[in-house]
Amino acid sequence: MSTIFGSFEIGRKALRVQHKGMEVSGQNVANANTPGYSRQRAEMAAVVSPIVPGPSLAPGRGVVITDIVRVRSEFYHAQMVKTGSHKAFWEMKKETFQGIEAVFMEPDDYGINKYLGDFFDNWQELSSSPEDISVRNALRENAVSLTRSVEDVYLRLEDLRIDLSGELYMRVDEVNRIADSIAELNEKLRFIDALQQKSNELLDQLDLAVEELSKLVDIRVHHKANGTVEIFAGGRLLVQEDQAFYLAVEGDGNSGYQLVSHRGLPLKMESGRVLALIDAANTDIPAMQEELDLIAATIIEEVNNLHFSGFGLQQGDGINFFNPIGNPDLPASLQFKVSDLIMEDSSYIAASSQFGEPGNGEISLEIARLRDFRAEDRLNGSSLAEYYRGIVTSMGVQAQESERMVEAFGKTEAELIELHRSIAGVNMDEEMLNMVQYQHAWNAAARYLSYVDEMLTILFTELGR
Amino acid sequence: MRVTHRMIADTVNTNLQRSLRRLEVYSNQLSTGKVFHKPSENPVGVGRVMGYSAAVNRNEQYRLNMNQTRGWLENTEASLRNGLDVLQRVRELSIYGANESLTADDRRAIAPEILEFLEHLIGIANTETNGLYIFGGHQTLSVPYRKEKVYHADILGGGIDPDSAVIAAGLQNGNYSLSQSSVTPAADEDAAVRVTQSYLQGNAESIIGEADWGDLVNGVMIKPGLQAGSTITIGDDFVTGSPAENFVLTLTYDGTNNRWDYIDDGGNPQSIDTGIFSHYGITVDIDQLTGSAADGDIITVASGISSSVMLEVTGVDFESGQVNYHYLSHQYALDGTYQKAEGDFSLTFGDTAPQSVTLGAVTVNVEGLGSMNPFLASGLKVGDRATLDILPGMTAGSNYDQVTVNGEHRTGGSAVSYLFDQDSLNGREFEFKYYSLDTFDRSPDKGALYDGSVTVNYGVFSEAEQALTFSYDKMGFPVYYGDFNDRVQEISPHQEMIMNLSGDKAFGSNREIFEAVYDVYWALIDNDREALGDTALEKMDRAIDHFLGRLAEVGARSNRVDAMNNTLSNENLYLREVRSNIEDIDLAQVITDYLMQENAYKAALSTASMMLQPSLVDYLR
Repeated sequence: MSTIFGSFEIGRKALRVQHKGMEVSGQNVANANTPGYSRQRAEMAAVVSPIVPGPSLAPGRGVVITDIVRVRSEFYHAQMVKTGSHKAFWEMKKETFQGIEAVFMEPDDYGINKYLGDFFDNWQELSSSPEDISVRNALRENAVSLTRSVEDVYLRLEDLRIDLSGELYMRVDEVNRIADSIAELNEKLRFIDALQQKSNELLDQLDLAVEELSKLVDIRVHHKANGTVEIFAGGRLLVQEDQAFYLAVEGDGNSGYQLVSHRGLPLKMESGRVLALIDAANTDIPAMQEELDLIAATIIEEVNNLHFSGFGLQQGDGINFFNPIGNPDLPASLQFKVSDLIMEDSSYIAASSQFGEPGNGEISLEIARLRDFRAEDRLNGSSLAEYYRGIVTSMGVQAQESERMVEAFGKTEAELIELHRSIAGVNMDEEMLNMVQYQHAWNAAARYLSYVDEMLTILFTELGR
Repeated sequence: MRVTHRMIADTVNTNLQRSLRRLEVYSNQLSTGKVFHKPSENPVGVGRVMGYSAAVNRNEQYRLNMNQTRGWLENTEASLRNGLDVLQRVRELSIYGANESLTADDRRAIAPEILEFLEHLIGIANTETNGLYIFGGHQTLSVPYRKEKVYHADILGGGIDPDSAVIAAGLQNGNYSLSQSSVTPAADEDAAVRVTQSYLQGNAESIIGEADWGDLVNGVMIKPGLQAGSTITIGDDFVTGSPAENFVLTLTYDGTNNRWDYIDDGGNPQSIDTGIFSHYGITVDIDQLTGSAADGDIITVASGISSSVMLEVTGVDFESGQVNYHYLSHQYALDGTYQKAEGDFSLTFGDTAPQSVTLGAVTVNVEGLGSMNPFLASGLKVGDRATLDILPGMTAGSNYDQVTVNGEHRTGGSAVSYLFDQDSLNGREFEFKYYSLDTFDRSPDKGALYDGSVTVNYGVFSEAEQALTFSYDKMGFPVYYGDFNDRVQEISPHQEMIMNLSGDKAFGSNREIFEAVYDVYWALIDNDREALGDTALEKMDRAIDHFLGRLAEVGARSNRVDAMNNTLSNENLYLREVRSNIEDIDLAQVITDYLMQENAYKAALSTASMMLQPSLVDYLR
């Protein structure tokens, strides 16, 4: 039954609801730029009068907010997250190859290509002036530059590798940290749910954490009814309820890194920055280092073979130009040095094919011809210079591919973000309109209340007299 | 689709970023002039640019090499031209020298000029470029042609024909060859030192060996039983008396008849088996010798000053039988002192008593002058030469030999061989002194030319008797110390060019070019008019042709080098162009693109500002 006092109720509810609506708008406006914020909407419903027997016509009993929902698209969000994971993977790949590119410094006048060319050019010059000590010294210096540049590139690749493996540990720590925060959120959400409440803000935070996590490792998210999530990373359980099961890095630079779950089982990842880091440290960089070793070893072997059979200015044969590789387990690039005898005295450089013939430069010519030498069973049938160029080209191709993938996924991600935002983002104008509406409704409700208050006043003051 | 302000802001931002990125790319291209800078920007392009860069460097290396090659070839050509001039001049002199109206003196006066030309030619053969000798083959750091005596010391097996070792005083003309003979002395015979001498018929040249080593005993065969190195002195147990000057007495033991054969001072063969005989003013007690003699043993007794006398006929009068001689004599006293005697004397041949003449410290019996006797040799003429040798005597201390090499212009030089005692010389280092001169060179210090020594150490000898041979090469004739290799240069990939002419190719594998000039010189000295107009001239012609041929060869190579240089130059341009097409920007294009992009950027900025500023907030009161 509707009494005057009941009318107050309508007004009171109206005030409160419109006020709350205004607050929701205000919350939206306040968080218009908050990352991960989904705009909220107050769901209002008219209060149904209680059902009483007998005919009665009664308007509803006011308005009530049934729910404050987050306006968002889970579908777009999920797609966005997955795409973001792939993009992060390719971004890391791109960084890796750009780092490798920077180490090689080609095409350039100070790269290995130039030193390799100069090396053979010098042998060519020696063949026509074998007696000339200044030519011998120049050859020796250029050879030293070549060995140093190879060694330098190798060591800088190694530095890059160490840096990236450092980042790997850091990122895995980050994963574990995010897992922790998700577990915490889970706990809070479960508690809130038990209290039959809801926290949109916490849910937003959860979404944000998931986004961040997916950039690092590829995850599968199971949403529970109570708002908590269960997260699997690389196929292994990462977060369940309020528990986070930490990931760890196993292995080292020599055996290769591997990401394992808390129970020691390896993860099978398909995207994410961490996967790209592991690839870089285990495969991408060591592959380049091995190529470098192959080139160094080939140069050492082939030049020495010819040099060994040749004679210096006054010396006998059997002298190596480069130090032969002493330890086959260590990288050739780090053992690539001009031999001590020749460093001491460049007249030991064997240009001549016969003893005691200072004008003979035939061995020198043979060594110069190594530049073009091709054989089926070595270096895939390429010459030394060709093979090195091939390495640089394929590295460039990989870097280029990574860039393209980053761009492609970036575009997709941008579109998905836009789609998601179009649903979940805050539009100022809209909120303004909402606020105006709420304000008007509140004004109207206030006016209604003042009218009802007047009516009551008349009832109290006028009627009993 | 619903649009939020955030979305607009993001979109504007993304687009502005994209625009800026493009601007950055263009700006980078403009400031470096290159289209790409990293392999990731254009992997294939980068690979190709690296390839072309390497090719350009290599091309430039070849061009540098080319300069080297051209330098060598030009130098070689210039040297050959200079040499050609020299040869032409010598040829002219040869023709002039063949002129009938010239005398021997005239010809001899021209000869020194030829030697000068020879020196010049040798200088040309030793041309250097950049400190490298261009005619030495691969031996570019050492002088290829040197006027040194070459002493080849070889160990020969066997001994020497003993008969050739003995020269009697007076003249014996004849041919004695130095031998690696097959005579092998009996194994238990002590070794002896002998001096072998050789004569050539006609222009008698002789060599007398000189050495200064303790174990040589001049011209003496040690009687078996006596020790090597011991001396036999006159006044010794079996030889007494006052010897006549300049004699040699050789006693040969005939084992079959148990007697000693010899030639007495009358020139008659004699034999004695016991007792005492006297010849040459000395008395020999045979019985003292016979005791341990074996068949074929020889004892030589000689005296006097070791001397060689070179005679040259300066005037002949067949009517009166007078011959004028000029003599030059090197004389070694028994104590090792040396003196040189030179002068003129005349002898009148005929039915007068045999004469002797004193030359310096030596008295020569001219009875047996042989070809110097106008009555015996009707062909005697002015300019003929002969050499007399007087064997050394024997006393304690006179252990040396003298080597005098005269007129070393004959092909092949000359040699002297020694036998020596192997035990005493085993493992020792010994020094052989040589002294040689051109006896008909009238320069004042002759006798001091080519003075020197060579030291050899042969370690342990394995043969019972071994000989050491020293061979001399022609005086003043250069010896080749280079090798026969070609200096090869790669002028473009797998194309080679020989940049030098080794000595054997330029000057003859037997130094024929020098020999041709040398022959002219000696033809002038020898007053050989015929040779000057004929054989010597022919040799010069051949030499000149040889040089012409080499000049043509070198010229052809030079041409090829020039052609290759042209090709390389064109190739260089081409490579650079292709590389530029790949990596260099089209300046006009990039600037246009940049300006357009800049405009787009500005438009985007102004649109954004228009869109972002107003919102409903401004309009609600």
